Formats: sequence, structure tokens, C-alpha cells
Amino acid sequence: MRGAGLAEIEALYRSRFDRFATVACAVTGSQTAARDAVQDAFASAVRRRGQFRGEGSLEAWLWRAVVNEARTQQRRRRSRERLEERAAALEPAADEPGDEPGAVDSFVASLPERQRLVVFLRYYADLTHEQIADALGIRPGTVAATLNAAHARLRPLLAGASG
Amino acid sequence: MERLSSALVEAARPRVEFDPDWDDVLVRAQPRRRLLRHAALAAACAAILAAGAAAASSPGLRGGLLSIFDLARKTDPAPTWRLAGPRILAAGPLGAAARLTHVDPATIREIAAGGSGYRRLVLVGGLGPDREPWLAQVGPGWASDFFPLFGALTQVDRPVWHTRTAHGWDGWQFPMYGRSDSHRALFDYVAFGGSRRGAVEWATLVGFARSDVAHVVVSTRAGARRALVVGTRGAYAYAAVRGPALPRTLTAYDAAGHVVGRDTVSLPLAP
Repeated sequence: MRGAGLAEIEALYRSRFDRFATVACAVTGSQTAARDAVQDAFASAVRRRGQFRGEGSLEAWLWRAVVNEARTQQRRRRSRERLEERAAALEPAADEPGDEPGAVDSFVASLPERQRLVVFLRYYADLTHEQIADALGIRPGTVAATLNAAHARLRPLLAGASG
Repeated sequence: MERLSSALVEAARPRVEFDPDWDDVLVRAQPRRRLLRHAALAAACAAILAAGAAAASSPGLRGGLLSIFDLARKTDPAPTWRLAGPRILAAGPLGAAARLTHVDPATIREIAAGGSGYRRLVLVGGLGPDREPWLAQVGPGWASDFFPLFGALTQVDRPVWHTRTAHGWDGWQFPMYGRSDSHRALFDYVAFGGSRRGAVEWATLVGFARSDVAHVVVSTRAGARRALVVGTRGAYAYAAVRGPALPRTLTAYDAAGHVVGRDTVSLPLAP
């Protein structure tokens, strides 16, 4: 076990912040939840830096932490929204507009979770197939297949939208 | 077709509206503080931050917000100011402050934020009764009054508030900038406090920089220099949780590394 240095973690945080934050925003769909996901993931990495085994890259280890924390935040957000929806169902409808996703957002949101994660890491974080595989704990071949599947799934949606 | 769907994914790329805050990471990494953060932050800041994300948009609002820094543009057209950040719901103390000075609650936006727990500080801006920018500082459970961005003749007016709290005392100071300050590279706002009178033990500084500022360096009381990230909106933040890390000066640099501004940070003790 080699452990990770605090300075190394801080350097990656500062140099890759925009990418971590963008992926967290894409996964959670919320600025507040995304901020918490990135901050808490790095706080956890700081606490557990002695457990980093050095088997993969430190960046991949941090990506795994951010993606996992973002998924946790997303689940919490969904649970809270479900509770709020139940509460709202008992009250008259408010005329305050919500943050409805646009058509493009809806297409991407319609992808299964793994496809969405691979797409976000590929296009928003610019990670290679190998880095995505490291970050998600899957094989590079699976990354390529998942990306292909995502493109195949978007194809009819694009056709439907243009038709 | 793959290129087309890649473009589709790119079109859905979310915009990030928050800035890096390494000090906040370190604070969250401490288990005791983590509990404190959840208790205090959830209770006091949830209305501000969560509601900000959920706040409704309204037609014409963007146009109003674009004018938040128009005042600076009028007198200094070359380096312009950037847009403010996400919308903030003016509830609780912030709502009361907005009503008091007739700041339009629909125009209130987050400009910069830093710190965590009871050290959290958010700088917000909105359009005042004169349709010019008015700013306020917001923390967990408190909000300053709104003041016009350029409301003073000179920078001699610096309202200071101190409050006794469960953890000691908190304070904040509101720098009153005059119209002659519209050339400034940095606009700083600070909250601070300590566990006992006679000593400032923590400080959270937030601010916004002119568009030609590439990075900001803070010099601490211990003599260390730390580079602060200037966000896409020009916002920056610095949180010191220990005395030696308290900010002393801020220096603004342009992309070529030239100094374009310098500020001294004032942290007045509780009386």
C-alpha cells in the first residue's frame, strides 16, 4: 500500500475541478448536489488517502470517488423529490415553474445509468476508454460497447426529433 | 451518426455555477466539523442554496441581471465585469433585508461563496430601487443589509457588525465602495470571528474580479502566499480556519503576470 499525498490530491482537484464539477452536475442534475458531491468526494479521499493502493492512477481513484458520491447525492435528491411530490399532491398546484429539462437534456437523461456515466466521462471529462474503465471498475472493452450502445439508443431519438 | 449524437451530448453539457474551494474540502475531511457542517448548514443555508437552484425563472430577468455590473462598464469600458451567478430565493433574513431596502427579490443572484458551516459566506447582488446593483452578505442564519455597490463618496464608510454566538463571536464588514472605485480590479467582502474576544481566529473572504484578472494571490498573516482560482464569473473565495492563515493582502494579476490591483484585508476585532 503506497498511499496518496495530500499535495497530489490537491493538485488534481485544482487542475481538474471543472471536469469533476461538470460530470457531477450531469449526474445529479443540481448545482447544490454537484458541489456537495465533489467536495465530499475529495474530503473522503483526503481522509482515506492512506488506503490508496497505487494499483491504478490516482486520478481514476478520485473519479471513482466523485462518481459514487454524485450517484449517492442523486439518489438522495430523488428521494427528497418523491417526498415533496407526495406532499404537493395533497396541496393545490403552485404556478411556480420548475427547472424542466430541455429536449436535448431529456434525450441524454433517457439513457440507462451506466450508459449515461460512460457518456459523461467520455465527453465531459475527456477520459480515455482505459481511464473510464479504471474509474468505473469495468473493462475497456465494456466501455466501448457501452458507448456504442448509447449512440445506438440516441439515434432513433434524433430521428424522431428531426422527423 | 455517432458525431451527431456526440454533438447532442455536448449540447446537454451542464454549466457549472460553483467554484473550487480546497479549504472547504479540508474542513469537510474533519469528522467533527462534518457533523457541525451538516447541522448548521442544513438548518440555515438550505433555504438559500437549494431554493436558489429551484427558483423560478422569469422573462426579462436575464436582461436585468446583465445590468448588475453596467455601472462599472459605464466608467471603465475596457475591462468589463462578468455576470452574477445562480439565482437565490430571498427568504428569511435575506428576504427581510431585501424588503427593507426595496431590492427587487426576483433579481437576487449569488456572486461568490466560500467557507462552510458557521463560517459560510455568500455574497449576493440584486437590483435596488434605483435599478442599480445592491449587494449583501449572507451567512447561516444571518444576512447583512443591502448596500449599493457604489454607495459611498469614498471608501471611508465601512459598516462593521459583531454578534455573540454559541461558538464565540462572528463579525462581518461591508466595504462601501464609491463611484470612483469602479476602476478597481477586486471587490472584497469578509466575515470573521473567534471563540473569544480579542482574537480573530477564522475568516472567510469572497469577492469578484474584473475580467482582466487572471488570478488572485492571498498573503496570509504567517507570510504564506496562496493562489486563488478566479471562476468563470470572476468570483473568488478564501477561507482561513486558523489564525496564521488569516488573509492580510490580496494581489490581482492579469494573464501576463502584471499586478493590476492590490487590497489590504481588514478584520476588526469585536469591541
